[in-house]
Amino acid sequence: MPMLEVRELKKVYAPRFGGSKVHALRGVSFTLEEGEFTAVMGESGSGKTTLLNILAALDQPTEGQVLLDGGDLSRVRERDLAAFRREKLGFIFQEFNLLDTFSLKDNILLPLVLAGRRVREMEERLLPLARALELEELLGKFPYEVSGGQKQRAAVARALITQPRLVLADEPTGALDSRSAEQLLRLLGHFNGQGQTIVMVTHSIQAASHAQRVLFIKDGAISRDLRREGREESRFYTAISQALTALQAGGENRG
Amino acid sequence: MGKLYPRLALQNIRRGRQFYLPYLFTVLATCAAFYLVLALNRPELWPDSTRYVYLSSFMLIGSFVIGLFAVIFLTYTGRFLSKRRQRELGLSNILGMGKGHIALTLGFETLYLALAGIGGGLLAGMALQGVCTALLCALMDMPPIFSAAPSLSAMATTAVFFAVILLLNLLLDLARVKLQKPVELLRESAVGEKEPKTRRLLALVGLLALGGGYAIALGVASAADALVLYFPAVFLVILGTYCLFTAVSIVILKLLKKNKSFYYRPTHFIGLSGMLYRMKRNAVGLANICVLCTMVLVMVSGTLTLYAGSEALIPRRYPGEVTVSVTYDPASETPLDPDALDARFAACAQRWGYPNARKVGQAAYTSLWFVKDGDGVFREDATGSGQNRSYLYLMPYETYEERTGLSIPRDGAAHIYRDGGFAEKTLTLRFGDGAVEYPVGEPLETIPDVISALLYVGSEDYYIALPGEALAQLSQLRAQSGLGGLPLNWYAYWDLGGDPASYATALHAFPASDWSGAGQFDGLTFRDRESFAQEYYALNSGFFFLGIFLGGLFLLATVLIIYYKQLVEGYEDQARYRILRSVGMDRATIRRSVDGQLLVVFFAPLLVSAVHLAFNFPLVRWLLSLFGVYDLWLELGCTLGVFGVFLLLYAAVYRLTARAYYKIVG
Repeated sequence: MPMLEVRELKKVYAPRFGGSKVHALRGVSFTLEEGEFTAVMGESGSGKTTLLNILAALDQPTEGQVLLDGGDLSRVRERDLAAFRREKLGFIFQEFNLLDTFSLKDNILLPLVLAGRRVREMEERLLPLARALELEELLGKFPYEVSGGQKQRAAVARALITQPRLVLADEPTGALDSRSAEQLLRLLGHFNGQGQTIVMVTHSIQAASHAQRVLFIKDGAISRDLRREGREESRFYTAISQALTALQAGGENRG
Repeated sequence: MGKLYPRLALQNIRRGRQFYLPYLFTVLATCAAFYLVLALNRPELWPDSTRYVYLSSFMLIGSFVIGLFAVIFLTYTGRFLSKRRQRELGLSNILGMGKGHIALTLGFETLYLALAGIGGGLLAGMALQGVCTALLCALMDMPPIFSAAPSLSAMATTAVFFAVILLLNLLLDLARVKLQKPVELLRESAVGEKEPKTRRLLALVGLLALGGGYAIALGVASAADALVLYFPAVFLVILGTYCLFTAVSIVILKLLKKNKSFYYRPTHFIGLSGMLYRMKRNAVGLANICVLCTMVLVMVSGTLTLYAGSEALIPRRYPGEVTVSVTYDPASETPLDPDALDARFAACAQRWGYPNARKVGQAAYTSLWFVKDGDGVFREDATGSGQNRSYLYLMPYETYEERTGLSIPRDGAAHIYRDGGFAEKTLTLRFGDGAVEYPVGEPLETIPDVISALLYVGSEDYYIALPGEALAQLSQLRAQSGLGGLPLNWYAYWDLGGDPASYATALHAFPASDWSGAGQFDGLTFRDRESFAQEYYALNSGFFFLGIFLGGLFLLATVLIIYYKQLVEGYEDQARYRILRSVGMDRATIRRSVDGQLLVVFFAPLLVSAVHLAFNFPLVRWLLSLFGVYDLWLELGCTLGVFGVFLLLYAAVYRLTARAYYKIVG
């Protein structure tokens, strides 16, 4: 059984004051196996973010289903959704979304605190993660005292500390300089190597080239599914780049 | 183009109405209050000149306080509003709006606010003028006979005064815009506040100041001391409140944070770190709220007690409708003959149309300044300026017995009442070189009513009952030392049995009658209870009115500060709660966490205010004794009652504010 199954997902936004409806997703289907690191690429307005929001149970599809471990997301009751997100999913955002009132340590522990875990358990989980993300020295600092890359590493730690089934990353390198971005992607690759399933929405070919698989989305539908199949990063980079060019050219032809 | 700026200004106000409406309301309310005190302070509208004197000075004080309050508070809120807008102004500047254009926009905004605030305030003031005059008349126990016509001069003064304040605020605003570069403007509100350090020195200063203030409150042992030390104590307590809120609140929060099993719980986690994060600002805000709450409580409860207490004072001070008083020397060859004087008064009363006049009581006493020469030894100090002075009330046994209904054994001893007791075995009174010593008998249980209703001076007062002969003997001794005979005051209390309103005029004519043949005396005086009561009510109701008036105004300030504080924090927290929801915090937990924070913000200052109020209580009791009020139960009842009402109002504000906050973050 695939870990995540997306079936014929459609999302239609009806404008508030009449006008034509917007089809953000027009029937997206794919499956993810456990341990996959998948990038979703596409231009602005292609429907990437809508897809991610639906996967995160922040938004409801108009049609179609999302099955996580065989369970339908739309069946999770409203009042259990927060706990569901907290326990099954981890989030990494472009703007980090760290709370400036908390130290990095407390930011990382936040989901565990919300889940009501014991202090000892929290600290046991925190230490190895902080070590792997090279955050040990920074735990006592506040977000405004550290760099963007450090913030994003703390955000990764926050996403991973609940040991979620699936990590959803929305343009995680979007606000980082290239060195920090590279470091972050290596870390994501490292956690993927340890079996963590990751879905990452990105614009950046460099970011996508760290994934095992790239889904190209265009006009609300999957237009191509590119797998790495053992290629080196630089060769995968070229392949993605070519696929993108072809996709854009195709779009122009059609348009 | 010419209409752009007025329109832009109007738009800005409408868009920021959550912030501007309360500000407008503040301008309006302070403006109305200022107009009212000015309009009520007009001699030509008041029929009775003696009462007017008190009222006028109260209203004058009121207009000063309200004026000062208006300057401080409007500048404070104005600054707060403009700080919020720094970013927006910076952005307009970057987008190409020149500083002149910004100034024009701000100018129009101020113009609109001024027109609406001052105009509305004057209208509200005029509308309330009738109610206030009626209330004042009711408090003063007199018919509403004076006019509530609007006062043009009060209107003009108010309009000019508030226009100047708003103009100054505008200039301050403009100066701030001019001083900054666009980039700085943009950055202004994004700077994070660092987690505050524990400040031991501040905590120590706060502790000393507050302890000092409280120690004064507990240590004061006389009304005179209370009067002198009241404002120093208030100052110390206010200083202490600010220091302690800043230092101690941080210490407490840090301790709570260190306790991991407390801190790492969903509801505590968010609130605690949030409060710690903005503690410095928070602390000043909380201290402001606390100080204002305390002011309202102290002012209203004090003036209410005074007002409620006046009723009880009058019959103690005037046991009869009319008091006849003379001064005489008990050692003179033909001393006062009380019975003869009473007969003359009865005859006089009959002649003036009061055939049913009836004597209801009498008293005799004298009071002199003495200096303590040793334990139980007092020397009269007529110079009146030495240190260590005591006020001695001397009265015959009979006066004590009649005015208290208690009895004294006829043992020839001095019976003494003093706060804190009198430990000595003998009492020695010295006049010049002469001295006389009395054994000290059983202490007196209380102070006679007519004496206790006088201005009460303090713990260094002695109330001494002596045998009648002893007073004559003292008088001789005093005369020998060159000070003259003892000036004993004698009072007779009468009910005339007529219309009390007629007494004042009638008593005016009394001294012209024949008063000869009643012995040697001077200073024959007649006073009627009705006139005293009216004057007394005028004094106390003026106080009370001002107390309610200023109390209401300070309450408004408190409410506004709380409201703004929560509103601003709500907007700051908006983003935070969005993040929290996205990482899996559910609404119920958010609600609980917000509730916890709000409860602390509201009720921590109130709790401290309650403690302040408790320590203020003994001090105010001394002050009230200056007005002849010392009824513990009345004072306690008034204070607790005012606190209760305040609590209700405060809880209502809490609910409203909490709702506004949820609406923002929810």
